[in-house]
Amino acid sequence: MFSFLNPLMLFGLIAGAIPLIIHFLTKRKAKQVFFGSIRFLKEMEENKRSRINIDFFLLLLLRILIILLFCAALARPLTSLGFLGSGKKEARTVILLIDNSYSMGYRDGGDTLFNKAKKKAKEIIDGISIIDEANIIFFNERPENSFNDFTNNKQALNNILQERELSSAKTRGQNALNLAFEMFGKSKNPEKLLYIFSDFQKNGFSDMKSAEGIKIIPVFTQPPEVSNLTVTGVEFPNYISFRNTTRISVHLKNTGREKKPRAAIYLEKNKIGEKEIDLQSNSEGEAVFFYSFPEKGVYKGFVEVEGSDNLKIDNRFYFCVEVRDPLQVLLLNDSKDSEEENFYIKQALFSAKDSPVVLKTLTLQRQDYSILKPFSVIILNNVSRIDEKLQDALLKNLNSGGGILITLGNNISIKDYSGNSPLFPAKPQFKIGSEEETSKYFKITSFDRLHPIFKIFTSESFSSSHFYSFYSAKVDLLDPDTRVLAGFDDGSPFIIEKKYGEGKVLLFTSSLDSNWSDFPLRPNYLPLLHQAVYYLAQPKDLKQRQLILEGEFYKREPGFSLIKEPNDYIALNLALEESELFYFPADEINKKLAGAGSNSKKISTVSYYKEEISSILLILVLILLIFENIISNKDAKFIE
Amino acid sequence: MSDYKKYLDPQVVAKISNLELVARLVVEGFVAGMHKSPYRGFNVEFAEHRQYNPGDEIRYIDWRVWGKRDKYYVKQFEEETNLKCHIILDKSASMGYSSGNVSKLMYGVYLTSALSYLMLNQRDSVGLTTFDKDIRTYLPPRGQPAYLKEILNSLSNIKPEEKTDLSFVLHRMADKIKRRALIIVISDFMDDTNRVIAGMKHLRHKKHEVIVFHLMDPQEKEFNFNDPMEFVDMESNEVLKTDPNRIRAAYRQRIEEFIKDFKYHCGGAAIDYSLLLTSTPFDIALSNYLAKRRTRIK
Repeated sequence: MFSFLNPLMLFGLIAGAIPLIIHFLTKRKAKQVFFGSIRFLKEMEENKRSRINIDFFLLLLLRILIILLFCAALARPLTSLGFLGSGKKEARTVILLIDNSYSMGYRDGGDTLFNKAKKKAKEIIDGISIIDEANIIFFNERPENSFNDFTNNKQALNNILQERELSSAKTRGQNALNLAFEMFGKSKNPEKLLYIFSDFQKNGFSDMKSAEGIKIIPVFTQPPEVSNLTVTGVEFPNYISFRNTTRISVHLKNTGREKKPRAAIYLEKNKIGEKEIDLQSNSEGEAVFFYSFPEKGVYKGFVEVEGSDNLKIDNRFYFCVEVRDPLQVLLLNDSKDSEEENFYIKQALFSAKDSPVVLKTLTLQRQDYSILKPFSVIILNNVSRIDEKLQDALLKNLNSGGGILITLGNNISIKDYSGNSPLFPAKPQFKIGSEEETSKYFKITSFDRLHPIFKIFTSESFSSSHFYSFYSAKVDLLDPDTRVLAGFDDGSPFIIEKKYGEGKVLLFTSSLDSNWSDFPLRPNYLPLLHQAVYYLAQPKDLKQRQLILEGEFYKREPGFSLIKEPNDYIALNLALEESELFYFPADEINKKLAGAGSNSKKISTVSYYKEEISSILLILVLILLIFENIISNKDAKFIE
Repeated sequence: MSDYKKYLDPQVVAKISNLELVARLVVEGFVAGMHKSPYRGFNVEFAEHRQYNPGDEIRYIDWRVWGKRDKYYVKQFEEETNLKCHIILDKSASMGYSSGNVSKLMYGVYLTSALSYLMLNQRDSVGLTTFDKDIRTYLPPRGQPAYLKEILNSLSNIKPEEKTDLSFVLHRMADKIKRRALIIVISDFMDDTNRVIAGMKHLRHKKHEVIVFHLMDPQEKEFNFNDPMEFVDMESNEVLKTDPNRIRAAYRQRIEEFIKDFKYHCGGAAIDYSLLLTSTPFDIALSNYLAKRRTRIK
């Protein structure tokens, strides 16, 4: 019914006790006097006392009232009761845009921002008059109007307000604004008011624009301080085989004061690990768990973090992981120095602890290529030429989801490799550099860090590797399935990828032995080879088992979704940009909305629909002062 | 002011403990202040001769004149008024009120003493009745000078106590006094006015002359209290809490009305009324008495 623009002034109401305090402080204890007869005094009392008492208490009351009303006036009260010119109101069209993205579930002072927004929205609805029309649009990534047309049915509006709950989607403010503007187009009322109830996260309102003729009133529900723990991701090795110890890396973000949150990992509803993580305020951290999957198949699980936190929904992160048979890799070579050339590759793929790789080495003698079939990854290490039969066999392997890694060397027939074979991601042209001249070398200076095989590396990872020789390669840049993943400092490509059906081909333009480079001697050789092999072996990577609740999936809830019977699931997770909780300050939002019709100065929720009655109160104070003066003067005369 | 005149001031008299002395000093002060005596003297003094008429008492024949003139002449004296006076003094608790040195009762006692002294010296008979809710002392009128001591003795033991029932007392006195007399009522009249007036009319009905000395403390009239006070009724012990500032004007007005009303009713019943504040010099009361006596004699 009432709200205040300056509620701090309400503390002044305590001053209402001042007249009472003065009264009690100045009240003297009556002296006792023996008097001949109080007969006439009694008559006086009977006649005058009641009036005097009434006057006295009236004065006291007036003085208290004057102070209370004055303080109340300073607090600038607003009311929807329509004291002032309620009959003069013009018909208004009101749209309430209420953010129900999951960040509005942040708890501030015991209640969620969403509930606070709903309470404020209710005040607006209660102020709607019979000539007005209104609608409520709940919005997250996409907006949804509650009524097809405007209504002035407060009950219906309030019911909608109460019924709607938070979503698990992120915010896209402009989408909601656009829908509101479109709806305002249907209204003929001269006044158009758009209230936006939101926490105004930067991610959701960066592209916010106003519209002509519409007063936009942002209603902020931002908490004064943010405290949030988020599980930002769960990372598995690219290839997981059963009975091998698998490293599971959980990434956490702490935007609050909690320093030692606990993270627990659940697999198929069973807790398989829990640990306390030393995580400083406003930092990111990692918790590592190890687990050996008992058998192959798709496993569902989630990671949950616990600690002092005001937004719980992002504390859980779901994942699906496919555990497969050990990875079958075939290493082919037809060079006379095959032993030497295969040495480092064999060492790399065998030596890793708990490696899921089963490596088989074969000297290519143009035999029956049906032997290639069971291998997920085939490494063509300095193979001189790829004839049609081999090419067909390899393509079949690719089509069934296999991967091929091709390395170049002195043994290759450049004519063969630079032909029109669909197998090669690029056409090798000529050899650059010389293995004899080790003083002149090339470095890997660029690589695609977002690519699965490079995700574990830093930008400096390959700076110590020296490449003395490699083949230049001609890449078809127009082919969408082909891309360069790493390159040398002279701009020549080092690793080129081509997707072929379900399969993938990686071409290394240098050799993977120590003749053309010292790369095999460097620490990153082994992980790169592993990452490449795992990547090539995966028909679907982990990303494909993850679905973020955005776009067409914005209405879904976090958890799991069955994509193929009987047990092929994907994990559904929140769009984590909504968890960042970076808010636009009020003045920035007002600046953004400072269009022709926007109400950039007013941030108050209710100032428009409620009338400020300070002036009425001040007039009342003035009237009461006059009364007080009259009564006290009359009293003074009476005393005289 | 001569030495005697100062004794007309109640404040001065209050310092003297001997009532007889007070009475004498007051009366002498009063007499000294008069320019011309309204009477020929205070003692039993010769006034004039007249020829004896049959029926005159033989004891008043002046035998000396008969010896010289051989005619019978009778002596006429001042004191021949044969006045009998009843002083009725209120000794109720309310009479004990005093805002200064002299309470209403003390003032009444001094006044009674002075009047008695004056009367006895004029060979008038004077009696004393004290009362509160009933008659407490009754001394019938006597004319002997020695009777003063008895009156003064009675006055010296007087204490303010009990409630007033003046009308009851007046009716009783009216019934009690058979012969015509001068009745002097000294009271604060803190009683029901109508009933009091009825009592006094009863006295008048019995052909008595009545003089009323209405005693009042200056504070009772002016009500110059300032702070809020608890007033305790001296008769009923009833307590009333009030702020004098707020009721002073109305109180004064009411008191004036009361006095005016009382005076009016007294006038209506041919009763002499005098308002005497306890600060009022005694000569006013004595003058009133003498004026009344004169009319009585004429």
